[in-house]
Amino acid sequence: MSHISRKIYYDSEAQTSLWGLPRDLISAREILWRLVWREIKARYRYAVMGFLWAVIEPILFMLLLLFIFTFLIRERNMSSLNNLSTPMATQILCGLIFWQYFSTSLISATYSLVNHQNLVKKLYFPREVIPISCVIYPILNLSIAFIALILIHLILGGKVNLNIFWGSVWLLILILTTTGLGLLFSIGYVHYRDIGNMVNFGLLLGFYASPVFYPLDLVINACRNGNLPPWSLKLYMMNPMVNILEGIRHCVLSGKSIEPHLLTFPLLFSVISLIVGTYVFRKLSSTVSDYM
Amino acid sequence: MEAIVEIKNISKVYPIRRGFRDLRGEGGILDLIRGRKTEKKKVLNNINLEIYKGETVGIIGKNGSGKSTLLKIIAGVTSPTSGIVKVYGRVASLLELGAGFHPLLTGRENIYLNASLLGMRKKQVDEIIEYIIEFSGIREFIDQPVDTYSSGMYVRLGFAIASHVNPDIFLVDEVLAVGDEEFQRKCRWKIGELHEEGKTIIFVSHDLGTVHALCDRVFLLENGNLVDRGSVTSTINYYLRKIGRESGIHTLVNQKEDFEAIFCHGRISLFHNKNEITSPMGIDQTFLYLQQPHSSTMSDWEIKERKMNFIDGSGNLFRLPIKCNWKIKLENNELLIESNFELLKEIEIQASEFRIFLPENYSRFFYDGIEETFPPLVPGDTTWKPITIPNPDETTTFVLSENQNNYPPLKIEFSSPQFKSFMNIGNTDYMSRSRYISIFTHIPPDRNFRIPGKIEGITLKISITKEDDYKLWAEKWKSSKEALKKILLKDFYIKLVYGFLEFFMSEPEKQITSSIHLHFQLKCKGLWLLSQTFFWGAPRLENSKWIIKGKCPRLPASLICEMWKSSENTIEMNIYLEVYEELELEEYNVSIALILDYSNWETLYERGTFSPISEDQKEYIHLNKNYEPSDWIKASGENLPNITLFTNLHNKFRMSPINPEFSLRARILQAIASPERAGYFVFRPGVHLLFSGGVKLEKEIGSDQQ
Repeated sequence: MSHISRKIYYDSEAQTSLWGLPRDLISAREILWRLVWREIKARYRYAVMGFLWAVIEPILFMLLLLFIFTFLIRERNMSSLNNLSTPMATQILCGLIFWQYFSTSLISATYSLVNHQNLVKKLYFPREVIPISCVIYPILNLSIAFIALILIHLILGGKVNLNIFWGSVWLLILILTTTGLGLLFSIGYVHYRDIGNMVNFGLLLGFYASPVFYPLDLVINACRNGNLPPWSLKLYMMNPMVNILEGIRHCVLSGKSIEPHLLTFPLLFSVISLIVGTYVFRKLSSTVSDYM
Repeated sequence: MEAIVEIKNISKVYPIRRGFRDLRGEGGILDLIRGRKTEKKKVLNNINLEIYKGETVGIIGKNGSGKSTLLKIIAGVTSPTSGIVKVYGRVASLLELGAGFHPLLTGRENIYLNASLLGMRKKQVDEIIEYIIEFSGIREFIDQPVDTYSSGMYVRLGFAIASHVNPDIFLVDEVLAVGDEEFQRKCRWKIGELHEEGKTIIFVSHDLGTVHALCDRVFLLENGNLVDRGSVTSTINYYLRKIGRESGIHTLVNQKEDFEAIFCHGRISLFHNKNEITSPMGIDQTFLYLQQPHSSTMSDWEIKERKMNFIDGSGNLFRLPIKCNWKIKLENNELLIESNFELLKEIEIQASEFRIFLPENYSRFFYDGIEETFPPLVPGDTTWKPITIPNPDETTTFVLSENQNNYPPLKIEFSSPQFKSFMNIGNTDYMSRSRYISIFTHIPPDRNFRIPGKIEGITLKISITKEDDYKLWAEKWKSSKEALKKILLKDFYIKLVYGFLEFFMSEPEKQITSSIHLHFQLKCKGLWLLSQTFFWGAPRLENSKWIIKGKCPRLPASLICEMWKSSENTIEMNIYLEVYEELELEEYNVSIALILDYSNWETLYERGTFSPISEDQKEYIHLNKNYEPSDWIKASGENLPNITLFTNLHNKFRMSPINPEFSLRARILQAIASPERAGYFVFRPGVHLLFSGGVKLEKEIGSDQQ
């Protein structure tokens, strides 16, 4: 009858404290893993081409964008594109696959709690695993697409060196940022469904306001030429995805080492978003089923 | 003892959600700006509760009293607004069967997913997965995606998982109200089993009967406050009283206030000195439609008139277009229920049944002349077991207990003006653990009882009596029935037994008929019908004539038998056939089966001896050679009275001495009527005389002299 042998399975106090999180996550690792698998299996089980879609989709999108920019919009600013070190195709593809990872994860994380309400309303488990699982499962897609990217890069005459591994630092920052925002938006969406619309619009805006299908230099040049006011560049750089996408391109395609001036802001942003997201989520998640 | 669930000072306030004003009604953005406060709902108020290992705890209360919220908080689905909840064990909910199934994953994958959500590791699931698949009984489909499953398979798999993940605490929320009969039965069985295994069960239900049967402790939630009245019964009683004045519930009390009846949504519970003397299932009425019973408890009740000791209510059944009307009256020690019901649409009801459920403490009963004890209820009982043979003419029964202070003897009587009703007495299954007395009214498949309109029901009377009253009554019953069932001649007597007459010599006492005694047979379409297979009523005594009537099975006809003592040792009888539709008979006879000691026979034309019957004889052998009709046949034997079967209908019957099959161990004298030529006796609807005659007994002179 010793107190030590009594394992506590659920404690309403520990639920809202930030310190209970690691313990909860460890106890729920099995659930997290199962949820990730469930998403992946359900997604590709009845697709004839299966994981090929992870490659086909960004490539088709890339071709579409390439077509638009090389044939339809032959503008003078595009002249700066001609002296790129790597071909436009790989540049776009690289931006696209990471952006897609970001947007898929964020959207599915935002809607995740509500989509999993049949679980949330009926069973107890640390709610964090739901948005986190949504951030994890698209990594599989990303990895497949990344391999395709490297192959295309090599075929088009590009070179890859060991600096490519710095990319993993960028990836980590990307995942942390997405997790933080995902936690924040998912809990927000439960309380105010407006968040869903905001995230959708924000991601659409972000797609254009990040160097996904154009290089960062294009924006910088435009400011230098006076086509854009200087404050707009400052605003533009507030978007952490700008640095992340640019940094990844440099490491993967251009073989540059990690650049601290690019790293500082996204790192800070990711840590802050993670802390804020986790804190808010933790405070509100225990009563989340009341709002469904 | 350590608590497995600790609840300390918890309160729960549900926030009102903000949203678009026009759609949400309140809390829109303008309200937010103006600082208009919206009201909050307090569902639970400062609740303290400890639940110990191995307990079955019930939580009852009205809708919206916070039962489900409390259960959700224990399950960790939502957390309290203030206060602490600690749970020292894995929790599984028996209601959420199949929660978290993903339609695109296979059954096997879903087992892993679901089990991990219930807190199991992969390794643990590997060990039990075979049992789960076996229990679910859907092995062939286990590798198919679950969206190809039928809903039944879905629930079976869910149930299989929930019952095998082996958690410490089970939460059951109204689970017994969902699913089909079979599933509910399985759930009840499972809950019983979990209880035996020492699992902690927390049970939320409206069904007070089930709560009472299953729970060790019961708590009442009342506007978010927890009420505990000590024992299960007193908490439930308190609850019933508390909400008594509200619709559908009413307490009836007699003047002395020692007999109470609580009417609650089509169920009546009886209390004697504040002690419940019916079992939790109380008294209800069911209607049998398409072999499915529909209970009066599953109805919407409206009380038209209420007094201290009287209510007049009617309930519309949820699932059938039937309105049942009850007038309940409680006076002194008597509860009187007058019932009838209305068909609101055309519907063919097969039967109506009043059921009285009594606790196990009632151990004896008196019915149809027999005092018997109820067999004990054992865990192996999964079905209801009737233990009496219903007699349609017996309308009273007594039930008795060993502890007569708490469970006084009850006298249960009914009258059924319109239809034949009969009483069934028996044991329920082990889960319900009750004795039942049901009054079953078969409703004939007649158009009149299908069309909308009122149908007379039974009147049921339940009274509290004393053991002495019961004994007096039983004595009287026995003597009155015995008188009816026995015809005394000078040196003989005759017992009226169901379907035949047994003849006895009174001095020295000796039975002179055997096995099938005096009986009547008729043959229709090649089928022999024996009088023993008829549905006989109780004998009546009218102008010193005994009259019994029996309905033929399979034929639209009844036999009426009139008997009287015509001289010292002679009994005469008229047998009539009452025919409802035109009927053709091939043959009929009156027979008397004598004991084997009878050795000689004699008819008008010849005389002979009964030859010994060999063991392999399977058929009836006629011993006479002359088949001309005659009026009498006589048998005699050493030290036995002469017995003569005679008829008053001249030249209508052939008289035959018969050696029947060995197993009957009898000699038979038979008066046979068969149509003159090969053909039928045709009977038009009405009453026809079949046989008139009797049995004459003569004490043998030789034995007289001894």
